[in-house]
Amino acid sequence: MTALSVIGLDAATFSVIDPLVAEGQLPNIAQLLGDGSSGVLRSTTHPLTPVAWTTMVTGVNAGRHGIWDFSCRDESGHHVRLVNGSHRRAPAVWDHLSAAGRRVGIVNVPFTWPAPAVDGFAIAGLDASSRADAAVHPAGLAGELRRRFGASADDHAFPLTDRGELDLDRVRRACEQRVDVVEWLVERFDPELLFVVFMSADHIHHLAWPDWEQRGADSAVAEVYRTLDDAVGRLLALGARDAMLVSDHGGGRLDGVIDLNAWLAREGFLHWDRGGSSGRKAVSGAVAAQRLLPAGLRAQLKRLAPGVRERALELREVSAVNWSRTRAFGYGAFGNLVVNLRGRERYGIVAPGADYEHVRDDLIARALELTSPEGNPIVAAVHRREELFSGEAAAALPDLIVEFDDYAWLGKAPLHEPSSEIWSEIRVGPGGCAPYVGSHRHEGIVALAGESCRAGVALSASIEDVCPTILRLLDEPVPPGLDGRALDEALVGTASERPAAAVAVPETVDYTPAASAEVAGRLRDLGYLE
Amino acid sequence: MSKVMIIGLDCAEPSLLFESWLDELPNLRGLVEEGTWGRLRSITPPITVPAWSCMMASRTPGDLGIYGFRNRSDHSYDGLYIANGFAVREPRLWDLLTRAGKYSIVLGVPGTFPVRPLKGVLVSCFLTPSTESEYTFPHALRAEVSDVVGEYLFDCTNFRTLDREDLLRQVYEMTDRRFALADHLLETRPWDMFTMVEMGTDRMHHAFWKDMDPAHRKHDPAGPYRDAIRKYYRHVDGLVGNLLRHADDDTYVFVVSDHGAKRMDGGIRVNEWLRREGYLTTLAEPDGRCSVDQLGVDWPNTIAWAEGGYYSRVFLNVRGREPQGTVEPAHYERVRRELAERLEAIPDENGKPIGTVVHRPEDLYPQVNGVAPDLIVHFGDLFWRAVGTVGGDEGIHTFDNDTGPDDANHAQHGLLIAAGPGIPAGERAGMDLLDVAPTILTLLGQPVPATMRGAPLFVPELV
Repeated sequence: MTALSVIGLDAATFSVIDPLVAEGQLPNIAQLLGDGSSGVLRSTTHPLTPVAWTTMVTGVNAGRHGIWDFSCRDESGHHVRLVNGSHRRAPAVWDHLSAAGRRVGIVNVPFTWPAPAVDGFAIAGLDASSRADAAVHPAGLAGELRRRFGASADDHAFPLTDRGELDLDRVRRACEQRVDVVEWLVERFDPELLFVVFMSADHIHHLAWPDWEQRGADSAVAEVYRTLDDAVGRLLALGARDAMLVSDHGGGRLDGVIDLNAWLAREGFLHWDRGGSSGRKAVSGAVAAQRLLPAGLRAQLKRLAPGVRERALELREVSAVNWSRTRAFGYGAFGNLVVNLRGRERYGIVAPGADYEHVRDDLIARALELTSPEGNPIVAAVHRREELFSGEAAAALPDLIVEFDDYAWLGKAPLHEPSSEIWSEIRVGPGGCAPYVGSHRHEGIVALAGESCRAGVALSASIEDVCPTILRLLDEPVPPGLDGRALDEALVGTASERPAAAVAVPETVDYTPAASAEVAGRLRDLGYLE
Repeated sequence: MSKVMIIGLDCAEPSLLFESWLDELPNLRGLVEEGTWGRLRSITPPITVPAWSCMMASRTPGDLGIYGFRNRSDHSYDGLYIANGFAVREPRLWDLLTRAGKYSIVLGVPGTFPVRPLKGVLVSCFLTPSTESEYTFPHALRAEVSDVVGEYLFDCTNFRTLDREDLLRQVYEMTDRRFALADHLLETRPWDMFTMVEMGTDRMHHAFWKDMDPAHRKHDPAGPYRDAIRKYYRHVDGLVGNLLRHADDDTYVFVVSDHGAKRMDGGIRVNEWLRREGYLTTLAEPDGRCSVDQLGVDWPNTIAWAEGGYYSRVFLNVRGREPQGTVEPAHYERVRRELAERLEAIPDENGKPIGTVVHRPEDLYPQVNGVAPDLIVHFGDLFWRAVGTVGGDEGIHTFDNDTGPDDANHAQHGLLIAAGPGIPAGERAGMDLLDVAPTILTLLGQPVPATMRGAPLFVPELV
């Protein structure tokens, strides 16, 4: 029998759940909250899917697990490399459990491609590519799932029609199929830990948060939460001893998007290369134009001009930055600043030591003064990397992390084309058909209920606490040195006193070019990649 | 949008603030003249841990399962733990506001170490071991705290000291740094609720009460510290005034204390009394004043034992409940009643009654969680403290504290001042510490959880 079911709802937030529960709209989540203990799960900085989920499943900070964003820069510093689960440099909770001989089932947890070779089953999350193997473990399972359940109805893209309309049927189909699959897998494998993630709450926040603020229970956001509640109910009905409901971050309004590289150019830290490469521009232009076409036409075009996307990704690496005059640049999805440091960056010009610190101090001071077009401050804090992260992988993280006020602002950082317009927007979906109107918050959710859990405890937890809490609920020792702690205040019984075994992590593998292009396209449609 | 600023002064005594010195405290007087003020009934026992957590959660000690600094974790004889922040399992104001997406600044509120995350910032309380500990949320706030105030001071290093000049310096330094940090956080952080607790008031009362109070048996009218507490209140008034600059027209300001203070007439040596009365048997005879633990307890011949402090917790040794219990469960109520009556009858050193009140937890609390004491004893209406040591030349009464000089005890009533848009002016009787959290939530437009024990002091329509 399953000891623990962990149900992950990416981006789920009490600011939607609490009002809907109060109206009696989410009966299954309400029951879990009522029977157990719950509270805010404080996410990472940034509260962004790759770093947040990976921190949750490892119990250590990004300086140790090494996963930060959807993409990173490769060794040269100027080529984009998409991040996948194998970039994780710390064991995940299922690695600890597998090493202890416990059977687990992992479904759709972000950043789990290639699917981990656990005792049990694993279906990789949104970093899996339809053009790559290893999305399912054990390997033979993929074919069987396809035969039994048909084509995978995943939730790895925004539920939008080609015209940019919401397609909530698609959300429902993906949720229902996932639960169908999980029911069958649980029957067949009988895992002791089941960990299933759904992405749809995040998607609907990004696409329709203002609708929630205006129409509440009548909004599309509420409809998606009701769909997710149905899925939660079916998973709870599988009858695990304990259940845990988590999200990797919360959600809320998006007030605006700032182009950090345009801002850095204005402040004199970054200089654009006005010449540029004509080949790159041509391909970029073709891709940009292609993204504006209706899907049908795009499919035709793809057949006529195969590999345009692939070539575009390769060429994007040739940024439009004049490196020899650039002291700092932005990179990544939520607001990061990187110093063009000599000895680290290929064309670095800032000397390590005092010069580096001087550039950081200067950037911090200026970023803290950023105001919205209306003149309101928008930056809550600028963190030096070492203030937030420690560990062997910390050196690869951005030098400065810009935390916008309540994450109601985003700092995007395109490098492939010169930009001078600071106030920007993000358009998502096929051809950029829909505006991006919601964003993330630090405040995710956690709820625990079942035989091993106390009821009524007000939890106030950090995302690093989830991994040790899962281990405790499975009566496994918590390895020393995790950054999180088991949520003992909500658990009955005592922690295992057996020593924890050392656990290795698999080698990093990169996508093939085709898979890379496919994933990159999806991430662009999700607004996470330039 | 409404905001709430809560300035907590641990142990601030209503009679001193409202009756004796109000005219010398212009900022507090301004709040008193503008708003609602009065005595605030504390919990029983009226003690910092768990009182502030009770206030912030509107839950009783019985709900929290926290009956003092040290609590029994089970019915063994040695399972005592210090109740830290993780022991508080009920949502406090900032937990509820975090869930509702509102920002809090939490500074020095007892019961917040180890720190837990919230929406906003938190600097932990006086039970933090040192600034080496993880004492801020978020972590990065630490560096900023030292930039702003140097080393942050959680408490005085030893407030039961004979070097009173040094203590005075420490208290002022601690208080000034805390208010400077408060000022900085109010200036730089978004907030819907600001809540801080200053411990200096409590430390000053314990250290300098006898110098101030002619009714204290050790009062020296010619002593140099006669006005030490009064001067400190004036100093704090200035610091409060400085924080009020951050309160705009939509801000509700609360000044609260978790309990009051009164002179300490002496100590009742409760374990020595239990020993003499045959309730407690030690394995060795005391050679001079010592703790019960040093002697060892002869459990098969012990009926009851006690913990000292500003009040006493008395435990019965019950068969089937304690490992070597002696009191038959069938006799438990009779033994407990008899013991309570006898404790209440202990007179002062001259044989005069002192008015001790003994409580049973189930009479105090609607719900009794964890391992509660069997009896909670307020000796002499809290003019007397409880002392846990046995032996020595003294009898049942002592006029020295076994842990160092201390000349005040806690009083049952603290104080509350509330000012802000629509809050009526005037004194108000009958306010309860458990009403604070529901009041704050109501003023911030938040629902009051049904589990809260108190009720809002102000109804929004009337505010």
